[in-house]
Amino acid sequence: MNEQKKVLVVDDDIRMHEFYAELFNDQVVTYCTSGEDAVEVMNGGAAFDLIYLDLELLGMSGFSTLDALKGIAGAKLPPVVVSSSLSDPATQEIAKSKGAAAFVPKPINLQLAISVAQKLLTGSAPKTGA
Amino acid sequence: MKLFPDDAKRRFEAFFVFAVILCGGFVQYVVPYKMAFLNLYAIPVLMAAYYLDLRRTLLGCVACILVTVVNVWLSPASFRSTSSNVELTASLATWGCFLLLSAILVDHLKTEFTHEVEHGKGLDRQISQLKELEELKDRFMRSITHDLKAPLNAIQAYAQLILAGQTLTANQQRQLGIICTSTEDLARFIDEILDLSKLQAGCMQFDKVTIPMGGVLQAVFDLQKASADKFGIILSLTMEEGLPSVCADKNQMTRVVTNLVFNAFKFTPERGTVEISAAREGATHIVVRVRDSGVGIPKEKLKSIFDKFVQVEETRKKARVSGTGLGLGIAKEIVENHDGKIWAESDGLKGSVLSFTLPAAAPVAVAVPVAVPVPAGGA
Repeated sequence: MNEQKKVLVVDDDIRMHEFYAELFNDQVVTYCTSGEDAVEVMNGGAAFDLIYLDLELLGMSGFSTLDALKGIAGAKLPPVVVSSSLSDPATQEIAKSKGAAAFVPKPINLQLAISVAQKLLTGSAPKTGA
Repeated sequence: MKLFPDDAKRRFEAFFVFAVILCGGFVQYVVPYKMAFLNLYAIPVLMAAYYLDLRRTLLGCVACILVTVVNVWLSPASFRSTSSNVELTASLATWGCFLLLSAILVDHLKTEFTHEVEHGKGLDRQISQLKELEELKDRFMRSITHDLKAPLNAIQAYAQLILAGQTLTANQQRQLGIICTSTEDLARFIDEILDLSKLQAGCMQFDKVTIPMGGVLQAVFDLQKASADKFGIILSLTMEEGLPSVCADKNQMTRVVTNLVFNAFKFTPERGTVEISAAREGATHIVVRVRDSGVGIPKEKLKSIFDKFVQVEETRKKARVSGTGLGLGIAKEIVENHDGKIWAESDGLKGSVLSFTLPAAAPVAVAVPVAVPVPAGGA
């Protein structure tokens, strides 16, 4: 058995939380429905192996959240996967420039989400489906 | 932003002062010397014309003149420069007429400037209303993206999860597959509506840099080859050698070509062909063509296919995949934003050619046959 990793999911759509639970079914997942919550969790000293961040959050935006989390964790910030319906190249470019490790457009492609999660959590090359 | 009020007021005040001075000067000239103080009447009269309405001003004017005339007739001779009451009254009448005309003129200008000021205010109001509307539309569009796409994301995410569960019958798998592709189509449709509205409102940001168009075409070709194979269509790409670069947004150009190719796929039957080609167009432009051997476009519809939601009815039924009807509209907006032209050609029966031009980034070196023999296998 692999060691359980800790994943922080920041997505205001709670309908998606069960999907993330399935996606990271071997991991310990913490859910936040806003950027403010995520900042509070990180400020509380919690450490994660991966952050899955939605961009269109109510209140603090996804990018502001990313900046804030960077400010809190500094160099110890785990890989951040940005996932959003705003998936135009310009947004993806901004995400990359802000240090996102990967961009998963919504609607989420399951194969892509699995491969990104596997790669970032285990550091190993994912087993591709097709 | 204020358009007129300040300027109009300043202009009016300048005229007011000028009118008073002119009036004074005129009275000095016309009226015998000792009556020159009468020009002081001009000031309240003109002010009244400005602040009150014309009717009251004119009444006041006439009253002033009458009082003056009465004064002239009654005042002692020593007070006047001329002894003739008739002469003096004639002078006063001239002055009175001038005063009345000035009052009318000032009133007219006041009305005009007030109108201008009101018009300016109206424009200001309209501009701010338009801005509010624009913001409302933006908010609406953002909320569409979020609220309309969020449930779609959930539908698709769970459909994929169930599909990956491997406990389904073949029928269930196929039906879930339909759910997945339908949600994808719907999500793309929402994106396209948003993009088209952004393009039409001129809000789309273009990152224009000098890029080789050949690279864009090759990338689209590589990406669409798999789809072509899936549809049983022969996709080909031919490019004129030494094609000049263009100043364009690479992602948006990729989108234009992809939309044209996708459109061609939709209407081309199995074993048909779709050819992408690019060449110089004159000395300043390049032209990209996407030719298909599909169902063709009726002549009368050649222009309207680039309009929103237009899909030629007869061909719609023949389309292998449903489209949003926005792809060509988006392509047109993007091309026109790059100072290019887009058009369709078809004999209405078999196949069509969708082409667009773009200005070359640098003047095109037109290939002129040079009479210099090139050694075989040279270079």
